[in-house]
Amino acid sequence: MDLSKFIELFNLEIEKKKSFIIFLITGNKPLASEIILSETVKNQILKLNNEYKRPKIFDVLGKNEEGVIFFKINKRKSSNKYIYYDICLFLKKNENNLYFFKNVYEDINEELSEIIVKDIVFLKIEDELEKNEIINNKFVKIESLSSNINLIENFGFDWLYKKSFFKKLNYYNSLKSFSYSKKELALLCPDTNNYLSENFVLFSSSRSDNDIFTNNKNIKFYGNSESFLNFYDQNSDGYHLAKLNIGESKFSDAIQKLDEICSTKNLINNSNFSEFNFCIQSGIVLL
Amino acid sequence: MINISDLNKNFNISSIYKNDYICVHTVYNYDFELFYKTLGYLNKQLSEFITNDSNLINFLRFYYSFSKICIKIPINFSENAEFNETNKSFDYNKKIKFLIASYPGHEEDFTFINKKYLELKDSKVIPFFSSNIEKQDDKNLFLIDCELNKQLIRKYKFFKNLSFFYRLYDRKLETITLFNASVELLQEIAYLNIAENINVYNFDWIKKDYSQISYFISHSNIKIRPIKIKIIQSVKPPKLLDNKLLGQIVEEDIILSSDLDEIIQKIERTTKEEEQEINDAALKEKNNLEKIRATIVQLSNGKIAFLRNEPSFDQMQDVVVKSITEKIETISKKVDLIKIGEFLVFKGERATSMLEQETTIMLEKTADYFYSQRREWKHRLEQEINRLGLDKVIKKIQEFGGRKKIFINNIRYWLYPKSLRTEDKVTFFSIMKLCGLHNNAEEIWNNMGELEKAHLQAGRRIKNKIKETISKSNITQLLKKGFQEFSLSSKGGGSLQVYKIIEKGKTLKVKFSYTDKPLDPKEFLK
Repeated sequence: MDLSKFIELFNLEIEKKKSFIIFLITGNKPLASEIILSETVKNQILKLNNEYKRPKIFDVLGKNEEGVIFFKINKRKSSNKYIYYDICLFLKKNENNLYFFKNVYEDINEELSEIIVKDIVFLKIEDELEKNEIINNKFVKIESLSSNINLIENFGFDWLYKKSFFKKLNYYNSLKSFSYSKKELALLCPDTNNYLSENFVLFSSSRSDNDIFTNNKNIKFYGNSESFLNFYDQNSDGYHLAKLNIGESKFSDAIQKLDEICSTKNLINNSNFSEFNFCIQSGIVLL
Repeated sequence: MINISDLNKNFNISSIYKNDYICVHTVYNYDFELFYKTLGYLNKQLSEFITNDSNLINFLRFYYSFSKICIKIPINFSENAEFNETNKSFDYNKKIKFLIASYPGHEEDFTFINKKYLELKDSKVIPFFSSNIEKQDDKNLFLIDCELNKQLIRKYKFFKNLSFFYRLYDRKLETITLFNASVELLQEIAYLNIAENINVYNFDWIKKDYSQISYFISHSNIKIRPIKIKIIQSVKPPKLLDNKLLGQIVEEDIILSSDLDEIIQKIERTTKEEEQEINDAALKEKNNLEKIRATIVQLSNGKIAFLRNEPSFDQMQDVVVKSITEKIETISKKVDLIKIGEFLVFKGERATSMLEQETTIMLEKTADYFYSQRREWKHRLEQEINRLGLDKVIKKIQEFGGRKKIFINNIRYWLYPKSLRTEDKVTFFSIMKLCGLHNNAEEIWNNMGELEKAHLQAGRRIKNKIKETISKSNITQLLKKGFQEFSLSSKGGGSLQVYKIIEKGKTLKVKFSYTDKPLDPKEFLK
């Protein structure tokens, strides 16, 4: 079975809501980790497409609720590379069916027709602090990629600002290897590379640079032996994926640690995870 | 969007499971092997002095570093020596007198190592390849598992260090060649899946067990797909291990010699007469039991000897040899391989029971008790044979639960005063039952086991003593006269007699008591 089959099975496994660790012992295979990651993100987005129901903009405007922020494309500033959205606040609707907005970035009041308002993106946000933070930023800059445009069309800016929107991926690897893979992947397919940005993946190469490893619900992907040794917590539940690469430093230590887990926890025999042609050995252990 | 199915072929590593992925070639080089082993021997012998003696450390370091390079880099010996000398130096001529003075008895070893080193230094032989060097280009690389200097890197572009292979992912090589690779190194390279084939060249005396190559060895429930390894044995060149210590056969030796054929005829005649005289079949068998096959040899000083030569029994004799390092020592040799002119070691008359003496020293008082037990069961068995006859005895032993196949040779061995017990417990117990010692069977079995252990230890001690005595003695008399007596100095005593072999005769059956000692031929020619 190949890498695509693995990604499919891995994502199915996540839906079962059981804690597990999947291990892959492989050779020198650059990009394999990053492709698993980006495809997992893509998979989640596809799933959300079917489930997510978004209110229509005119209903939102009709209710005139507090805590809603609007984003209007700034065509003058936008380019092929980036799309800029000005932050707007809704003021009122007049008798001529024109909508009054305060454009925070330009610092002017605008009257917009229904046709233009249709393209405006909105975000409902409960947290006052967060709302103020977004408004203070005055504009949003997004890479002009089909993947991003699709996301905005389907989810507005919910995917960008709502923390619980995705099951975030915590990716642990060396910075050098990650930036190399990103560069390679950007050449192959910029959209796939986009799924590795910090909007979807929380990358960390050392324990000191974040506090994210406390969140058990995230998917944790250890891209090399050293990261597995540093970040894997014996007591943690959740979804873990450890990819150990032959030839890297601390490989034998990591194998030893993995072996310990295999001996003490429940190794699933004859599972789908024991034979992939891109790794020398693989398996799944229930935690 | 990215198409993973296209990329999948880049990730596939199933090709490492093909049949001839790893080929291990065995390489022989006798000269280098001798150098390497002598160095190892010296290191082992002088290990306790290494920390305190800088001369010794430098000596060992210098030559070890050379041998390490020879093991790891496929260039000729002369280049290896040059490479070694750029990093390390050792002034042999200046330091040798200190080393010889500090470690008497090892002079030959030190000289041998230096002599061999100088020989190898002049050699243009690449030990790994008999003719031409293996194919090398940017698709066929050599993995060199040690640091290289700039000169070598410039000269040999296709020698690469391990780190190079770890970075290699964008192209696949045809072959990677490794030299005396450790199991771990071969394991890593093999699983990296960066070459179509992996060749390993190993010296035959550096043993590596690659059969266990696979990850996750300790956990049995994980599916392991081990890599297949093809071992290619090249033809082993014959070793020229002739004993250089051969005495010349002089006129005096021939004058003193007897006619071996005459002795053989005499013995055969006597045996025939004896057999004719004995009418009782049982007695005939018993008589036969006391005999063993032995090769008759003519020794210097007019003596002769019968050397035991029974395949299932004993075929080894100690011979004085000059080792490759020109050292005098003793080794055990098969009787058939002993040549005329070689010097044979006999344990002197006072030392016939040397093994028992040594064991008594080791086990103190208990040894006497054990030996009396041995005498007793053998005596009783002999009596039973006299009483019942051989066939019945064998039948009875089998009836009492002993093993099914018992041959006359087995009975002969059990009656041999120096043997201790049978191979299997059940047969021993049935013999004990036959001898009426059933109640003590367990105790005797255990005690004989104790004696067996003690004998092995004592045997080693005696062997070392003999080796030590002979290698420390002056053997000029031996070479001159063809005979010399040595005394084992330490506790336990005993003496050794060494004779030159003048002639070798036929193998025939003779009495036990005649074997393995120098005899006067007059005894047989009466």
